[in-house]
Amino acid sequence: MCIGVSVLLAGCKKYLDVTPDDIGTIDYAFRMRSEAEKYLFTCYNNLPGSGQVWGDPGFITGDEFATIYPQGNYFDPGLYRIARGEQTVVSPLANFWDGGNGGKGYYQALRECNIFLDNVGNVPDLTSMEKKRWIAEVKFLKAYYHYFLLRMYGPIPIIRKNLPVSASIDEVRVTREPVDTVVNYISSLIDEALPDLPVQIFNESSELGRVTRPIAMAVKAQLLVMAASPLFNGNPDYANFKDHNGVVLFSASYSADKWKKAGDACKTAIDAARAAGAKLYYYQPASGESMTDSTKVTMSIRGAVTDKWNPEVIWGASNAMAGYDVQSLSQARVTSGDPSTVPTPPSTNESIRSMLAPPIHIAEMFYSSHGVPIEEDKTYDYAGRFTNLRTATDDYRFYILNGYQTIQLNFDREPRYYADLGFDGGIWYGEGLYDDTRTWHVEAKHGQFGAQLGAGLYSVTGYWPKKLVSYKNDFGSNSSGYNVRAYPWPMIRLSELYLLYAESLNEVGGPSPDVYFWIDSVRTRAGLQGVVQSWADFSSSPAKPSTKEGLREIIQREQMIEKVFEGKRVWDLLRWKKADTWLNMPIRGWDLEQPDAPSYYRVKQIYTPVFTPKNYLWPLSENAIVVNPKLVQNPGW
Amino acid sequence: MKKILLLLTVVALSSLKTVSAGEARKQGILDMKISLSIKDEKFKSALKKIASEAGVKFSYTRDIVPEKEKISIDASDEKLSEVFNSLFHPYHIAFEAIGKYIILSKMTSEDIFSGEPGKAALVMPMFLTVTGTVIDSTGKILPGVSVIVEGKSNVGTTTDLNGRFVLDVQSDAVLVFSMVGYQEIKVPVNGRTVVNVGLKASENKMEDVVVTAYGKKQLKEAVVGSVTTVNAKDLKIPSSNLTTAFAGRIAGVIAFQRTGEPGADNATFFIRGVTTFGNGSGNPLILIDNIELSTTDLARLQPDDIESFSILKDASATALYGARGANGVIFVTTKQGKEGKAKFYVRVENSISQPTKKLKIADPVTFMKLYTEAQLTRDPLANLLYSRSKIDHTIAGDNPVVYPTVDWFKLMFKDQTSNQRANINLSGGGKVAQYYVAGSYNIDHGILNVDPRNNFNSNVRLNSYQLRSNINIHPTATTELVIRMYGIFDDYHGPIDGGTGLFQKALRSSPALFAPFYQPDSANIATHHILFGNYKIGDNSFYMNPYADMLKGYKDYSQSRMLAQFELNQNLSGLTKGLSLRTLFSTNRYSYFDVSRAYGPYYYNIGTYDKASNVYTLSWLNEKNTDPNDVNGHHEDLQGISGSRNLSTSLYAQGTLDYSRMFAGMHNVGATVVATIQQTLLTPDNLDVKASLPHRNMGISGRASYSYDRRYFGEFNFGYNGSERFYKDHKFGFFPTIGAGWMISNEKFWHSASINKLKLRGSYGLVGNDAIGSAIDRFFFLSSVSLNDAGRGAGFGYDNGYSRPGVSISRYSNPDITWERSYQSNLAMELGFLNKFNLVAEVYHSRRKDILMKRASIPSTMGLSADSWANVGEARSQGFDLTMDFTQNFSRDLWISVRGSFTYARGEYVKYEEPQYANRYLSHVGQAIDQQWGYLGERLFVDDKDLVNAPKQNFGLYQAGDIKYRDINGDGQITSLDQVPVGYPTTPEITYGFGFSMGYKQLDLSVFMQGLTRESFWMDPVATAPFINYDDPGYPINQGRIGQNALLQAYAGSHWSEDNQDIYALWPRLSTTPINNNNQRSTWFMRDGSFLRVKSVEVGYTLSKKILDRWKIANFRIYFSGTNLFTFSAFKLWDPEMGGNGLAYPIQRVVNVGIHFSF
Repeated sequence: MCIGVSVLLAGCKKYLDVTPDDIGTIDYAFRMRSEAEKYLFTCYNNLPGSGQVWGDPGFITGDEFATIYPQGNYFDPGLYRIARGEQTVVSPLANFWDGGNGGKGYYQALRECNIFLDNVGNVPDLTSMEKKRWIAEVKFLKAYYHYFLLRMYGPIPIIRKNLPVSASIDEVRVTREPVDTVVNYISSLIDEALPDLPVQIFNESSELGRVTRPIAMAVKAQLLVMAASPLFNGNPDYANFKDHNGVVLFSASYSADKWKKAGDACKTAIDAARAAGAKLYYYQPASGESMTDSTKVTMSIRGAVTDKWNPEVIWGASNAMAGYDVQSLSQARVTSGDPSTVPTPPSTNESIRSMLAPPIHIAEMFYSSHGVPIEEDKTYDYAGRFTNLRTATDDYRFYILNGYQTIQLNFDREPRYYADLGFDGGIWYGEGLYDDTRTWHVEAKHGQFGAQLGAGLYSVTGYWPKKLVSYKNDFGSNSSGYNVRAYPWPMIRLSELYLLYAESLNEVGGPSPDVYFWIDSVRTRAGLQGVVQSWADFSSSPAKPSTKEGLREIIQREQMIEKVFEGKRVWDLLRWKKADTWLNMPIRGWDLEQPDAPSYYRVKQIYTPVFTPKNYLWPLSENAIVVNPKLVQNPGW
Repeated sequence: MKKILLLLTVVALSSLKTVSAGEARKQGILDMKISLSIKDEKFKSALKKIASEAGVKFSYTRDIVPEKEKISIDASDEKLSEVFNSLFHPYHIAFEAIGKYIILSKMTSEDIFSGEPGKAALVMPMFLTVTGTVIDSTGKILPGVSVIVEGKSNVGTTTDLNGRFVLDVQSDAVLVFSMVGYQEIKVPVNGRTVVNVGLKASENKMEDVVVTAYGKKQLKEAVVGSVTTVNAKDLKIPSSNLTTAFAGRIAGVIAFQRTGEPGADNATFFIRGVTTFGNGSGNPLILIDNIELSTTDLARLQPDDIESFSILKDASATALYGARGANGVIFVTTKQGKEGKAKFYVRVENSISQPTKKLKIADPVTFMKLYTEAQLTRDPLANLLYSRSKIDHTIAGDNPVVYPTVDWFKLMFKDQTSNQRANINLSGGGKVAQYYVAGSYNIDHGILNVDPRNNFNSNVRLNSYQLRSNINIHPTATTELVIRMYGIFDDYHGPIDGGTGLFQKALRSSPALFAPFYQPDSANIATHHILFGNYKIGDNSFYMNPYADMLKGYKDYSQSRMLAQFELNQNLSGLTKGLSLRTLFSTNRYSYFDVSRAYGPYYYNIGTYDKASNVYTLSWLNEKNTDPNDVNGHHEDLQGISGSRNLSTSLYAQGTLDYSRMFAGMHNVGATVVATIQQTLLTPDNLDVKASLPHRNMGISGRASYSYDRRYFGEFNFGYNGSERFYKDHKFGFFPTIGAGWMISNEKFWHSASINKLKLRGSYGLVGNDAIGSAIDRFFFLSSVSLNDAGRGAGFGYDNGYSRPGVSISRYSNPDITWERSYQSNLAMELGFLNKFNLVAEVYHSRRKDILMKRASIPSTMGLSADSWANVGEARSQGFDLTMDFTQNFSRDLWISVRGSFTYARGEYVKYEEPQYANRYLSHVGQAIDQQWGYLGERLFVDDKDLVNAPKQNFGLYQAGDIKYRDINGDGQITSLDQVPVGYPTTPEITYGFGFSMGYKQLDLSVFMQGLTRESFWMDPVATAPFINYDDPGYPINQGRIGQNALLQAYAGSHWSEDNQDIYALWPRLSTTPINNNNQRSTWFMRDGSFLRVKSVEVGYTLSKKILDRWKIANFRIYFSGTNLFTFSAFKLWDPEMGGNGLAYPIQRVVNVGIHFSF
């Protein structure tokens, strides 16, 4: 009887064992190279959705864009709600800590990197060369995700090793580590990765976008510049920011050495990038393209961003391609003005979303045609910038439609103004018309071509970020489509490194020819004179470049202009501690309801954002603090 | 004189024969010998003397006894029968003993003259006129007892006011006596002319035997576990859903129904409330003829086919189901054939249903006005969807095509829908085989109007057939074979969305933006298709036109379940007395598939309109949408739409060895061992290999019982069960229980005449629940890894040409996860009072341990990509349930029975893994399961100043007129830490019901009231929000088109507006988009879910015997019934039982007429 029962039970156990042996587990991901490669790509998958309205926390959360609010029919303004002051601790927007609301869970990303690093040694058919490279890439990614979190939240827990899933509650309650510790950790992790990273990508058709040594060095430069900047370097506001054990999370004393390190890192990165072929982008017209030098300058500025894999782009995000989404949001509904010869896309072309709207103060930020701020330019009609209506003459024809009446603000500006912005009367080169005597232009007043379409398809300010639109896009043969040439989002451009280097040098040693050299390299490409000469000739404070503070201001303004719309401005304003100046400025636009120029060119305030000191660091979710009481919330939240 | 004397002797003899041959055993009292002497006493007092001397009681009517006669008796040691013979014969009085009662009756002339010993009887069955009196066991005369001849239901009568009956029958007939509240009794006439009968009171025949786990029948008095049996008759309501009858009718069951949507109107029910908060289901195990089936299968069961319906509630009752029994068990058996003539039963019903409460929707002009208000109040620059001139023209009643006002409901729906149901069953059989064959046919015609321009009928036609055949075969005296076949088949033909989908769409369609369809304008004279109206925003954003959705195509679906079951029962008394073996093998197959075809509607709107000439032209909106796969794509021809399919198969086998024997007349010993094995295979929703694997479980369980002298009862049960879901260390579990009962009223010391039954019983034990976690987390001991997750990959290269999918983990393996354990105790008292009133009261307590829950202590810095789960929760539940009934017969024509049930169940969190909150109110511990946390909505904000001065609310934009919440923890802002437990749980803690049935002559009436209380619900601020583009995430139907939620009249009448700044208005500031600030769970939208309703009323008329005789049928009844007729509740906007979403398909009020007859 007993035997019978035990036999029966054994049979029962077997009957209930319904799971076959080959159910996939995480070990399967490391059984052979082709599987492990997928895991490598998974680690890459966590890179941020740069340039995406609903994924890039630096893109639409600041003051570069206004858009329809609270809700348009075409895209959920998502992270724009941060710009509107809707950030909360209950359910933070762009939550990269826990994941959610447009943020990826970067601690998950870090765990995945560690899983890869722990297991990649088990892959039997991986050559040691390749293994080293993969490990280096994932180490870099691990460093990058830490950097990303640091940039948002300040002090963060460092995930050096994964805790086991069964870890005790005490173990899992990690603490935030001081900023300096985090910076040093990230920097040394990048250093570890550097030797095994490729200097450049040779298999361009399958590997462009993978991490190279210049990329890693550039990120390290970004990191160290950030760490040396006022927000993180001896910031008195955070002197008392401690965790529950009294650990000081921000070093209270300023360290000039941080700028030195940052400068060195910038220089190393620039050298490595140039050695690998990086250079500032200059537009080369295609055969048959008819173009003057003015247009060439603006095309050089536009192409540095939108020309796919151009040599200025050190790190192109192959997984954050700027495609239809961001480009159609940036595209104005343009017209050729001559439908009889040039089939113009109909004004009802809803494929063109046209909804990202740079506010007026961003337009004001650009230099005058003399390469100095309009408020400093002795020759510029600054007082009349909002009132003085002018009709464009033939001299302006590559920037403003000949004979078109528009406002002073749009006149006499630097080439980057005309390259980066679309506006009422502005010329819009490319997109099927490759001859600068015959181009598109914008007509944005009420009832005109580029004005509001439907309930929500329009720029709320009357400006468009032309910079983000590839000149190779077109409207299709049926004139109602919008075909987009996607480009990898430029995570880092060489010009950025130049300016960061200039900034570091100035902080370390003040103005010097070296500083002028790097900043002027960027200005030259933008069609401007050097800093010293421009200020001397046209500025109301001609000696500005000669003082450390003056030059700092100039370098910062140069960075804001050069990197505009690339999702970097917010981070720069934060690290400079200048966000409370800029991000409290009223967001303004033109009076879109008006059909005629005098009425249209009245400044209308759209809203006033509110930036308070707490916004310098992003909030941790309330839940994160509740679940792990060892974490402290960022000040003010 | 001599002749008379002789006659008298004959009569005496025949009378004696009656006495001796009739029920000799019962009449033992007549053999008692007595001695007594009476002299010249009056007849009545003489009887009294005899009664006291002999210890008997006489029962008679006054007209029998010759009052004035004086009699003398002198008997010494004579048999009582002899004494009576000599005493009564001279007065033509017949006598009969029943127990200690002696019933006296008058001899009829036939009695007296037919007595010539059996001459006629030898030739043929003689016709006799039988008379008799019927009393109950207390000696009371019973009027109104039905007396019929067995096998000839057309021959019968009822007893009169004196409890007497007269009936002409054949001398070998068998009389059947029956009456509500009494046990039926059969008495062979055996040539007698006087048949006196005593009826034993019995609440219900069903209740004497209780069907317990695995279908074992136990005597009610021997049951120590908690089992509620329900009379299938009580579940007969005019609904094709059995589960909707549960609420208030079954003690111990908390039940409520949230929607009246046909096909999805299953009530939610919990045995003894919600006792777990695990992610799995707290649903009871449902077994129909031992086979585990779904709630829907239970819902489709026909009450006519139900033999027994038992709810197993406590550990002792469910222990045999081991790891599956913790949530209670519903055990149903279907009818089987009985030996005898074929019986044919037919029931036909026609019912009409309409919403219990008609939703009041604002008219189109108000809709447009308030839509405009909603737009402008949130954004003064908004582009108006309904221009002022459009509103003005609409008010003025200008061209109704150009300025449409659409009542989608009126256009698309009839006010009510009708259903027809027919049930037929046939039963009977001979000695070797018996059969029960039943069929039913339901037809639902749908509530949609039909547009004649369409060449197919777009209304719903749902045919549902059921067939059941239970055959019992007895090849030998000790063997029984049972073959059950069951099939249920649904065929649907109707619009693609079904009635419900269209109903919902009609509530999400603008009443003024466009006409449902347009008459062709001059340009469209030759157009073949219907010119549907729509409105376009953007290049491909259309609004919902439910009318187009209704007409554009149709769907057929077919659903069936077929079950074949084979049972072999062998009596093994030959081996040892009392032993039997039962085996069962069953398989069932389920299939569902649908196919649809549709054309792509052509959408138009007014292109131009010339006011002067009142001429309009149409513009074609979706001209560019030529993609047939696009929901807005147009095409004139019908095209197929891919449907869904769902198939499953399951196997079940069971073997039972049963031993039951009485020793020495008082030791009753029983033992049962059951082994079961079960497997289900189904088509997985996706190609997940884990879902594709067979679902299995198995177990051995047993019961040992002992009772002594029908007074003391003891029972031990165990279940030893295995579940495939757990790691091998945890696959099997042992679940023991004990129980005991004490029948106090069977004790010798129990003398109370009024309390005829008193029983105490109790049980304690352990049962399990392996239905934990969600379906995709089937094997907790395995991690779930996707090695080809396209969403987690990356691509590289100049053109992103080289891409690979990624790897993701959706579950971490945890081999420690096992079932929930429920430690349950139960204490009950059963009370019977005067044989009329019965009460069963039970209290219980259960502690559910090892509840699977999400680890709340794991911070996101751990980086887990999936939640981690463990058996760490613990809950406690307690409550009581009560059933009572009362039956009274006032006369032969009037009877009444009253019954009621009451269930109180409250589950509480005991251990709940949660963060260590600084504030106790955030902790779950001690709070009810399903308790909701929310903010205290104080009022609406007054103005911007008020806004600035108040604590910041962290839920997105808010303005004056939005809800202001209270800062509970005083930190100066409203965050999730300001949530407190609000209201009652969302599952009611109390369900009750009461009602009565009564009959007067051929009329009967029953009324049943049902209610529930201690429940809160929240008016869903998103689902009911006017104007917003709402789609139910659980049941998406918008398909990307823009919906506009209807405007409830109540919201139109009471909302904050700039003109009327009512800070306590029902609805906050209007908006055309969801306002997250107001959508938080708060007291603002909390409502009391209590209600009491007239759940059902039925009036029936049974045809009198005369007519039945003429029609040669056994029974014929016509009845009118209604459900959900009237509701008492403080909440007036919609039926409170629906809970939060008043725009969902409403619960139905059903009015029904039916007949049933049998022959």
